[in-house]
Amino acid sequence: MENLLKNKSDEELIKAVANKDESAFEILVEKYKYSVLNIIYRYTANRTEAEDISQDIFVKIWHSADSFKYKSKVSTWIYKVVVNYCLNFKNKNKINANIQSLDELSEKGEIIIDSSREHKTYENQETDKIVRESINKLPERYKMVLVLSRFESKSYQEISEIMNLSIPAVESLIFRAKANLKKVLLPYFNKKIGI
Amino acid sequence: MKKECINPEKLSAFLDGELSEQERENIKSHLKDCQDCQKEASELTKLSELLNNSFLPIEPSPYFIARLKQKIEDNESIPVAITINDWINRIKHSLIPIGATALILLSFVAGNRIGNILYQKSSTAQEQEIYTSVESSILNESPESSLTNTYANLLPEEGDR
Repeated sequence: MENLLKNKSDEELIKAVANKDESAFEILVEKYKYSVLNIIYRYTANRTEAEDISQDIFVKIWHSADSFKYKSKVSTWIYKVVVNYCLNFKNKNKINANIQSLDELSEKGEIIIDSSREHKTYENQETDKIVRESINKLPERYKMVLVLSRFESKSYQEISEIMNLSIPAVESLIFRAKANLKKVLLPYFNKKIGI
Repeated sequence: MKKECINPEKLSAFLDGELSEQERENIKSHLKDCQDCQKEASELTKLSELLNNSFLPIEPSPYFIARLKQKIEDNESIPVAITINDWINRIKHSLIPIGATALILLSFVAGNRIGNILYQKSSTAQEQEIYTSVESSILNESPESSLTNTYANLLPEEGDR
C-alpha cells in the first residue's frame, strides 16, 4: 500500500490526506519534513523550536488538507503554510526569545572576534554564529525571502507565489536583505582575513 | 556609483540567476567595463559564498514522525474537550440573560402586587373620608325637624365616632 502511495503525485497524496489517509500523510511528511524544518531553522535560528514548529505545521496540514484548492502546486501551498505560520508566530513574539545578540555572545566569551585563531572548527562555529545572528536581526520579511532564496534555492517566481508578492517586490526585498547583511558581515570578514 | 551603473537590485537578481536573457546580456556587457559594478558584484558574490558555507542544514530528529503522530492524537482529543467546555460556557453565559430577564419579570409581578395592595388600602381610606364628609354635609344642611335632621341628631358626635 505504502509503495503504491510513494509513486503518487503530491496532488494525489494531498487528496488522500484530506480523506485522513495516514499512510499518505506519512509519505508527504517524509518528503517535505527536511525543507520545512530547515526553512524554520534558518528563520528561527533555534533547532528545538524549529522541530516543534515544523510539527505544528504538519499538524495544520493534516487538519486543513481539504482546504487545498488545486490552484497551485502542493509544495507552494505547504511553503505558504510555513511562511504564514512563521510570520504570524513571530508577531506573537514567541520565536527567537532565546537568541542572543552578537554583543552578548562576545561579552560572555562565547565568540571571540580574533583573526589569529587557528582552530578551524571553532572558527567555522564562530562564523556560523555571526551569520546566524546577522540573519536573525533582519526584518522578518527580508529574512524570509533570503531563507527561501539562498537556503532553499527557490526562484523569485516561486517566492512571489509563496509570499503573495510581485516579482519586483521579491527582487527588492532580497536585495535589501543582502545589502543589510553585506554592511554587517563583510567588514567583519574582511578584517578577519586581513583585508 | 555612476548614474549609468546597473540598478543594484537587478545586479543582485542577475547574480541569483534571475532576469531575462536580454537583461543578462546587458549586465554582462556592462560589467566588463564598469569597476564600480564589478566591485558591487564581487561583494555580493562574497556574501553568497559566506551564506552558502554557514548556517548548514539540520536533520530532523529520528522521532520526528512518532512525535508528530502523538501531536495529532493530542490535537484531535482537544476538540472534544473544547466542545464540552464550549457547552458549559454557553450555559454559563446564557444563565446571565435568563436570570436577568426572570428578575425583571419577577420585579414587574411583585411591583404589580404591592401596588395593588397599597392602592386598595389607600383607596379604602380615601373613600371612607369622602363618605364621612358627604354624609356630614348632607346631614348638616338638612332643614330643622326634617327626617334627615332627626336622623342626624340621633348619630353620635364626630369626636365620638
